[in-house]
Amino acid sequence: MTQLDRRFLLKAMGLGTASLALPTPAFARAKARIVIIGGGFGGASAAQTLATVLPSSNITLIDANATYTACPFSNLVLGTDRALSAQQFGYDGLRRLGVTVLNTLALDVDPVAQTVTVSDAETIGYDRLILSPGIDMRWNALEGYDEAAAQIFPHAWKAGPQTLLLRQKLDALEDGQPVIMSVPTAPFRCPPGPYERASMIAHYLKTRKPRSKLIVLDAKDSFSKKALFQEAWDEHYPDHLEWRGASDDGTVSRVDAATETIETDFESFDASVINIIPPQKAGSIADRAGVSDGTGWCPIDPLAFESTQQANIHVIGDATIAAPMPKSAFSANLQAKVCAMGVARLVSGLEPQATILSNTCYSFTTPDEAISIAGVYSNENNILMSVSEAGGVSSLSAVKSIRNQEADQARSWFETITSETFG
Amino acid sequence: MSKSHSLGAALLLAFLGLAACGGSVTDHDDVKNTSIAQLTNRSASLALACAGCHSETSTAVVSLKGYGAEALRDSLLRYRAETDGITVMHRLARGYSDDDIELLANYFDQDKGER
Ligand SMILES: Cc1cc2nc3c(=O)[nH]c(=O)nc-3n(C[C@H](O)[C@H](O)[C@H](O)COP(=O)(O)OP(=O)(O)OC[C@H]3O[C@@H](n4cnc5c(N)ncnc54)[C@H](O)[C@@H]3O)c2cc1C
Repeated sequence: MTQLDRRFLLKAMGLGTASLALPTPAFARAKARIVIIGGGFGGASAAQTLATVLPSSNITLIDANATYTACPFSNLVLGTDRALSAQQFGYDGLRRLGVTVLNTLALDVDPVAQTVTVSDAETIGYDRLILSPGIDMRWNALEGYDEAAAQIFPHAWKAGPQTLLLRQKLDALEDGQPVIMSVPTAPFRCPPGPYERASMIAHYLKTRKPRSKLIVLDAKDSFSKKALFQEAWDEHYPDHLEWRGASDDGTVSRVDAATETIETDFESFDASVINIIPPQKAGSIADRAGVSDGTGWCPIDPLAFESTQQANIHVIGDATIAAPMPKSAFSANLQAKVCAMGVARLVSGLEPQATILSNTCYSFTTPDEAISIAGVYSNENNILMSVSEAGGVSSLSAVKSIRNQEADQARSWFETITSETFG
Repeated sequence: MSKSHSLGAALLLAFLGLAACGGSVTDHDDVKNTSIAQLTNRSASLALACAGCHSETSTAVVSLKGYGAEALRDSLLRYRAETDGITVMHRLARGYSDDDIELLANYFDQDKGER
């Protein structure tokens, strides 16, 4: 939450800046111990919001890395001149708000003792735990695709070194050689993400390796914003992008890192650049905490995103089962804020309240054109559902200026959401 | 605004037992919890979604700061009514009731005059 939002909250309560100078009445506030695992779009946003609505609580944020690398816009790092550093954010803003930030791996959660283990020697107790661990790959769910294979066939589905590895492979590609991408069945992080990536790689090939072509092998026949993407591909990349769905032998069934080949039912491909977007699950700390179920994802009560499996543990972001909300940074940020308000109420003896949530995701089809999908959701009666009259995607065959406007909005969104999340 | 300021303000509000505009307040004796109820009332929770895109510094997306209740209400109602509208805001506004639009309009109006 930005300073501006804090001012909104205070002003909404009828407090001007003048009244802030008055002396503070002294009485105790709840000293709740709140621990957050994962400092991405979900976890960092939860810390921001809690620091505002429950300022005297003890808030500890645990993330494995001192620098967070954001996935949104990382497809532009692959296909354009955007630097990876534009994706990176630190935690000093949260520290300034009084949040204790620990850059270490959370190793275990004991939901009975209500503790988080961060090392052999150290556990941290919590009254409420918020988990926003994002995703982990389901290694070997696609035969042959394990951690070692990800160095040969980068997934780049967690931004950072993987993004750079894929970009380096594109840069080393000989003009005329194919690029292959494999896309799994749902659910996975960022439903339109693979198709934005396909667009950005096709743009890269068109401008830098014009004799090369991207072949997208998809385990599905339909996907997010399909008609809009295909319209853009027909217009911009007729010679540089070919998409094959499941019924056209698109499902990759096996990969072999040793021979750098991948196979569908009827065909095998070898290429120097193969991007495998593998099947995914909730970040593995969710399994340790006992909040994931047989699907690999975490069922929640959508009012305050509390786990339906463990008391006093909340789960937000990609790790949750929160359909119809997509696994997006927008969703993770908003779920975090709703969860934080719910947690503030719960530790104060108040019931969480229903609200209206929304999501907007933009996807670039060229470096200066984007399309969008929006949705509005209610969590009334503990059921997360789409508000039926609302939401939807950009119009087909819109003029270029509309696509340019949505690209501008996308860039504005990235600035806003990252400053709201990381301060 | 520093953390101590916002904390001070929240405590002060709780102490004085001020009623916030818009939204319901959970009935609770504890003044502290009255303030948390205010900070997390329906207006505040509805506004969380807006803050994903709208900020003081957002560029291609308009800042809601100082927009004014009437202008914001009119604008949201217009977005909702325009059945052939294609922008993101048209698609989002269709999900909000009259009551929620009213709460949002008043919520953002509180920031009037600060810029
Ligand atoms: C290519 C691509 C493009 C995308 N584009 C968009 C877009 O345009 N718009 C959009 O809204 N979304 C987009 N997304 C989706 C977005 O990145 C995710 O939905 C979002 O990051 C989810 O937030 P999260 O908090 O759930 O997880 P993350 O942001 O992944 O954060 C999880 C954090 O938890 C930490 N962590 C995990 N386990 C532990 C542990 N045990 N101990 C310590 N730390 C731990 C990790 O280090 C990580 O920092 C895109 C994704 C991809 C891959």
